Amino acid sequence: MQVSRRQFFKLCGGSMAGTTIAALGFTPGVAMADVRSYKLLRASETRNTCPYCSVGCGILMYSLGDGAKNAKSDIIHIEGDADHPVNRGALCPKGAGLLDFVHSPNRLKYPEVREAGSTEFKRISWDEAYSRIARHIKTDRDANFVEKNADGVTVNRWLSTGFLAASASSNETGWLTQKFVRSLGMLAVDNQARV
Amino acid sequence: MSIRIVPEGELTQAAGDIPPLLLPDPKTLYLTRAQRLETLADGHDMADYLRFCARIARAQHALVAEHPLALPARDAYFAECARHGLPPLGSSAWPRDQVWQDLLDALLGKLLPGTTGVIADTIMALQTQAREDRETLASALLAGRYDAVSSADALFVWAALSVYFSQLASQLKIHAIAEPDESRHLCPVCSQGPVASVVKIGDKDGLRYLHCTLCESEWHMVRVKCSNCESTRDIGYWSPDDKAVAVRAESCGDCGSYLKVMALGKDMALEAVADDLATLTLDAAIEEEGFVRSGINPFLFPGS
Repeated sequence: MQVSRRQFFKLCGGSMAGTTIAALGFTPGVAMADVRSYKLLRASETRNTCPYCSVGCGILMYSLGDGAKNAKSDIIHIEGDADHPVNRGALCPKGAGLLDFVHSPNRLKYPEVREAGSTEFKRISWDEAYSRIARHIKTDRDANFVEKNADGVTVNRWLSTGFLAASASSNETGWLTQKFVRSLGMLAVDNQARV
Repeated sequence: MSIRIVPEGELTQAAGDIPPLLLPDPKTLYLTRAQRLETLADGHDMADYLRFCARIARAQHALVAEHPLALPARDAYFAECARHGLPPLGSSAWPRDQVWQDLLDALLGKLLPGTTGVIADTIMALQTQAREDRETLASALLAGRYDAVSSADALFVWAALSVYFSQLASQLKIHAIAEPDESRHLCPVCSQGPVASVVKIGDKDGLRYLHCTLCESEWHMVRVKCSNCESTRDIGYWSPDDKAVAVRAESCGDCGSYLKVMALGKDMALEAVADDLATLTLDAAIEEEGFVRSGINPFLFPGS
């Protein structure tokens, strides 16, 4: 990155004195007077990858608020990224509905559990969620892990549990997923979040 | 990515690729600009200036019809440019024909009637100025030495140079290839800077093109990226308090510059130069935020 490549100009300071408009006798003053009543709004556009499936379409997310001035940031629009080589700006109906997905009141924001026999979900802490998941994994693996097959060949596999990872993961996340899943002997793994 | 220009026929573009370069159509663009300026002038605080610029654009349109230029047969020159990855009409290096001075005289002749005061004085002074002196003005402007030329003279000299370069650019027999380096801050045809960028609709929906301030070519640049320093870290989009606005300023927190980006999808009638000029209040407001502009408008030269 080169910091200054083109020339920079300040046009509007000092009532535009010296610029073509002023030099030819026109008065930009009225337009400039507007500035005081002019409320500037800062928005951002952020590249991201659609979270739905393994096609990995590029999206542009528009948001308001610059994050610095205590302003509440809010995503106002999502569209396909025309520069992205995968989708060239196109989105499927699910991707095109991402804005509603982001703002959905039904979105899961914290771990919940429905105990066996209960009809109600109750909120639990992340720590509790992790402990319970780990407990389930351990119990199931201890019960169903296959060390050797019928011929006595070592196979070290665990077939009774599968793993659903995210579609829009980075390469590093994919590496971690693979390490975690295979080290447990798990064979069923999917990175497709189509469910 | 820079855009490398090679002779036509050397390479063809794969289907589905983003066209890196759109050559201008001088037969329509000045008229479109004039009409847009006239539309924008209605009820505008700067109506008189926008109408005056519309007159210039109409005169430029007439010049294209009355003084059609043929691209000089400089095949060896173009081949050499292609070999070294240089713009074919690099505006400082290109050997300008005297014909641009004829264009300037014709332009001034069209504009003088009906003008008074400083404008008439400026036009008449340029008309009587020696050709060598006007050549010096042109060279200074094309080299970016705006302080060497009065901003009033610059308007007319640049308008004639634009008609000259846009006609040559429109006739180039070339292919543009996207190269994997980062240098798209200047026009790949004539090496001048952009006036603004436009996000297209239709078959180029959502793609952003920078609009050359001289030869009127348009070249592709990925969105959400500073068009000056190519940083993507801290890009802001500034607009009046209205989410659906078509013209916004794209600022970069790294190099501290901004340039406007215009969405045709929000206003199909917009035109880069006209809409840039008609939104000077946005320039004033974003200057207050501490950003500086990284391109000139052909109808608004900085003070010397």
